[in-house]
Amino acid sequence: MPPIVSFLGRRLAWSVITLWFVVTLAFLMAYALPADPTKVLLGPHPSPQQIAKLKKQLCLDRSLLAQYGCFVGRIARGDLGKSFNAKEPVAKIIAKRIGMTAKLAVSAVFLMVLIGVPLGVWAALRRNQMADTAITTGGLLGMSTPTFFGGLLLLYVFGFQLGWFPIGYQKGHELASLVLPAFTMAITGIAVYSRIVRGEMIEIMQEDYIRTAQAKGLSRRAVVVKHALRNALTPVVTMIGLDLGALLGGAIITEYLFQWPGLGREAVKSIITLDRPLILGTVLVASAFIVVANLVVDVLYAALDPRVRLE
Amino acid sequence: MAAALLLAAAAAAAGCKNKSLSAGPAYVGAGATTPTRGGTLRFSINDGIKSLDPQVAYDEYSIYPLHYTMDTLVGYEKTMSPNAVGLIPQLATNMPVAEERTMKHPVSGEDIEVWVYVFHLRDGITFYDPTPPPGMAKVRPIEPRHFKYAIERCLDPDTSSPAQSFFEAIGGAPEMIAREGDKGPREAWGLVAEGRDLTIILTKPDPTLMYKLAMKFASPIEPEVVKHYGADGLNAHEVSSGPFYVTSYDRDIRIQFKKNPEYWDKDSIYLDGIDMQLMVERQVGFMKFRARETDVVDRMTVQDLLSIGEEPAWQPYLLRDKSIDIYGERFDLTMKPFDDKRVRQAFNYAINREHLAQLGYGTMLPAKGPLPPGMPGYNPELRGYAYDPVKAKALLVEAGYPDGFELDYFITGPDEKVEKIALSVQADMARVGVRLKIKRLTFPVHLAARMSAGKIPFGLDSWVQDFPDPSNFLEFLFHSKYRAPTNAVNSSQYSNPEVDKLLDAAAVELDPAKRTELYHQAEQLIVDDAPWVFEYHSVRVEARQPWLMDYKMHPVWIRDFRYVWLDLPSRPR
Repeated sequence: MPPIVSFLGRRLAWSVITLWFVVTLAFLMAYALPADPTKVLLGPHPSPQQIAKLKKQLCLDRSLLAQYGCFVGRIARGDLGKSFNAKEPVAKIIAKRIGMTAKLAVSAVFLMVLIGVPLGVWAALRRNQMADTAITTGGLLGMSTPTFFGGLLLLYVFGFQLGWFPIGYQKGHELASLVLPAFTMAITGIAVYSRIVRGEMIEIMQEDYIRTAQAKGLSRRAVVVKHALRNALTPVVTMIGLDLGALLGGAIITEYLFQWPGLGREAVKSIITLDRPLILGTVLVASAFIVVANLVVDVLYAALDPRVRLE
Repeated sequence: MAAALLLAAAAAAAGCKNKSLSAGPAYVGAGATTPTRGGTLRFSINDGIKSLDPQVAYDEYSIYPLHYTMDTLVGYEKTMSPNAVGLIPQLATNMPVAEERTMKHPVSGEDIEVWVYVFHLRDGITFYDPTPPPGMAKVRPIEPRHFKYAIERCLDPDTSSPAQSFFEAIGGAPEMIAREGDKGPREAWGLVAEGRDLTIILTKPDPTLMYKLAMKFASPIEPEVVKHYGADGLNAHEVSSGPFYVTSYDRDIRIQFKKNPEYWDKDSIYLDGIDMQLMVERQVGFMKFRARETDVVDRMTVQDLLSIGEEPAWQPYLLRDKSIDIYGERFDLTMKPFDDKRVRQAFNYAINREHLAQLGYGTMLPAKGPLPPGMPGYNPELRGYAYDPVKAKALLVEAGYPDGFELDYFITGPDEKVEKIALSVQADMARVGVRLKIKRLTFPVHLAARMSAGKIPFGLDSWVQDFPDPSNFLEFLFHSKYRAPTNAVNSSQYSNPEVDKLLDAAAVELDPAKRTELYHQAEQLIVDDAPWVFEYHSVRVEARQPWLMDYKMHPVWIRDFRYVWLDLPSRPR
């Protein structure tokens, strides 16, 4: 069997096991909580008959094991159940919101790469100079900025005070509405990417083949872009894959803060109202993205760097 | 560097176009002195809407859209009237008084005593449905059968309506409530629709019937619409019988309304529409208000409230009004040491309500008992508990706890106000030797635990009125019939036969003065027994733009924008 096929087979099997484990854990957390969704749904004074009836409707009258069996069976049939609150199929809700989350996630990763990588290169080429210190310190601050705080600050400055962007999502002004949340999500990534690229570049620029390239008389630009940066990007590709996977699952805080109509808001709402099918649906989708992203990254990594063996 | 850029931008933004709060509102209205028509009122809330189904929606936020789009037989007086909790006819032309009669029970044939109300419907009242189901017209007449069907939908076990118990005095209601599958009636014989009249027959007197009929649960609805959309479809689709209709609804994002061109009282409505943004974070909501993207803001964070509340230029545009609610801690009387009244009283004496109220920056009013001032039945003479740690300590010693004890104190959150209260209560109790360990639970877990016996000995609890009548507080929270091992509305599991007797007598007493007296007596006994620490009643604070006119917070509908008007166009000050 070619190594790539057996590698993919193994990774796929692990992916399925990981997903099953995550979803089971989420199920246990959502269902074993000593809370009763019927209380949230029926208000403060339901009759015992109403509670019994609703529990039956929602399968809550069965044992945890029976509910788990019911849940796994549904998942196997591709049915994620119906949201307790929205009274709509969870799959429909996810399908409706995932496009917006994808736009936000891709934009954020785009900003991370577009800003983070050049800053990292610039800092590496000016090692121990003022620019390097500024970028490194700024990166540390960026990594330490909580999303909620960073998002609010951006909203206050660019939305409220300067009025350049809408304060929160505005239908019909999607691109303008996208900038601030994408930037909020990208702050940490920009900081991380610039630090990684800086570190890699500093190391690579001292390698023999770089010296050879310089000795051949190649321009500095060609050396940096063609030889050094290409190799420095390998860990960034890993990060992009993982970040994209994580962000596609929905950015809870950013989407809530900016009224972005994506999966993250659905996740927040489902947790607050103990909407178990929706909690599990969003967890399943988020973990599926991370697992798939891991898989893709592993394969890409091997393709980009022939030194990596498919073992 | 990203954060550095942010900080630089923040510094650069100083002195930008949005002025500081101390200058007051940057824009003012056009200066009209009489109401002008037009404009869309814009506001945001920090949660979503659970349902648009009038027989299912129950929470405060779901009631807002229903209030804009649905009328009932009777309604509250307009917000600008001095007595906004007073009831007036709305889709009916009259407010009938109960006529006591004897009649034959339609099923058993026995002679029974009944209380009969006959409502006569207004002429020309219609449903407005711009996207009607196939074969139905956009404008359809509202008939008495639509009210009958609405109440029967509440009673029907298939609907899972939170209002089921409100209508149990109607003839045939208990049989409908008990129906299992097809075994049992689908109609209540106590609801009779004939001509333009709806007759409601009660098998026991209910002095609160009018309040219940003013709730959105009793909004008229057509069986054909229910059949077309199904119960799930009604969650997001509604037919208007009120001043506005829904033009678009994106769940948890936004809901928009336009004026109903067919509304029977359309001359009283000045707005062209309402635009309600959903699930907006509170600080972001305040920014939107300051950026003039919304016309009114509520539920401000403490720092936003302080920033605007202390600016003299904003004072004319701040609204403060008492809410009809009670907040505090409830004891579980089935758990030690709270089976001992002296311990409960000690807690009541030990907690400094005046200090607590200061933490709320004007949003909390110290409570003496469960009933808040401003609602019918409030007793200004009620004997509560003054702050007296010495007496509290003495009661604990008398109860056998000279060294105090350790106790888990359950709160919910995260919520800045709740946390401040919890810390203050913890400090107060420490002074008398009770060492509270604060434990925070998520809302659904806290709710389930506090409504179950034997789970939470001492924890936060609250009650917000369904309608402004003492029965809605005292009966649900303190009548022993509402105790239960789980799902107990009487979450303290409190039981006092004397209180039960007074509450039972008040529940069927049609003389308002005698009824109030019975509730005063019951409330005093409850406060003396101390099943709760009644801490505070909330005060709502809102800020409005100068062009939002005739807006007054409604004690029941909270944000009643039906009759407001906008003094547009606004202009720089």
